[in-house]
Amino acid sequence: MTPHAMLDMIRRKGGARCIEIGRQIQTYLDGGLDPAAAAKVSSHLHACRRCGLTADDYRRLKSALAETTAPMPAEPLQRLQALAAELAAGDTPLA
Amino acid sequence: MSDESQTNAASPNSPAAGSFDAFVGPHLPVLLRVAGSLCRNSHDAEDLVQDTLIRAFSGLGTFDGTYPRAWLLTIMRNANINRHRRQRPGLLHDATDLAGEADRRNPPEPSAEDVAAAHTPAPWIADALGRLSPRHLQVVQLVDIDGLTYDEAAAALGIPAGTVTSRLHRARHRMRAHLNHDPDFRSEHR
Ligand SMILES: [Zn+2]
Repeated sequence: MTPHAMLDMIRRKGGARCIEIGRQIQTYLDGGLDPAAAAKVSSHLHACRRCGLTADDYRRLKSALAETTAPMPAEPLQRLQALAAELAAGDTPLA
Repeated sequence: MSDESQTNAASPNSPAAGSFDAFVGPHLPVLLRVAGSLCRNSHDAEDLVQDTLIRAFSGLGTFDGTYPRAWLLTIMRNANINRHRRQRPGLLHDATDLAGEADRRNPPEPSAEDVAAAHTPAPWIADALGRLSPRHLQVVQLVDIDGLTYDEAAAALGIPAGTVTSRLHRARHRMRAHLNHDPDFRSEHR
């Protein structure tokens, strides 16, 4: 095996590059990277199965959490909206 | 009285008092959700949003016109601290508290049971949430469940955005590590 091929194998198994990308995956998925850094992470996630699967896990986790949001009951919101309207109209003396 | 409600020297970009309801209306669902994360029960949560609205109205002139949600969440945090002082007046005279030990001023954090009961998530999510520490659970709830940005969560909790980020990332990392052993997560997944 040539040194180059060996290096390639180490990379595939998860080398320094994977560790570096691993630190950025969550920020990447949250949209917190600048375009150049995001492009680097994105191409690694397509090329590296292990990091790609890690990103899939976080995507799945985030979307499951987002779906966890409970429906908001209407009455408290209506009461709060009414309070805001009273304040705007100057009807509520401030304590 | 409150720290932010006194000055009414209007900033050029602050909304007019007469349009307060239109200004604040779009933010009410998020405020109520976050109050729910801070308060444990829906009655207290609604009270906290009421306090927040009154303080926001009084301090409207100090709002610079940018990031209304973060502004409102900062007011909510201050209102919440005040409520806890009223309930436990001894704390006001506690030297350690006055010295600004941020953790002691933080509101009681919701338990995983509170979060699960309020939101009825998938069992595997409830299980993973249940393993988080209260602090980790709180940032996951504010950002991933309630949909706040890191900066907004930081405003609501009175901690730096960097702390929100590191807590959130660690919390998700732990949830993922746990879920890797969960057949339901895996089967929906691959
Ligand atoms: Zn990789």
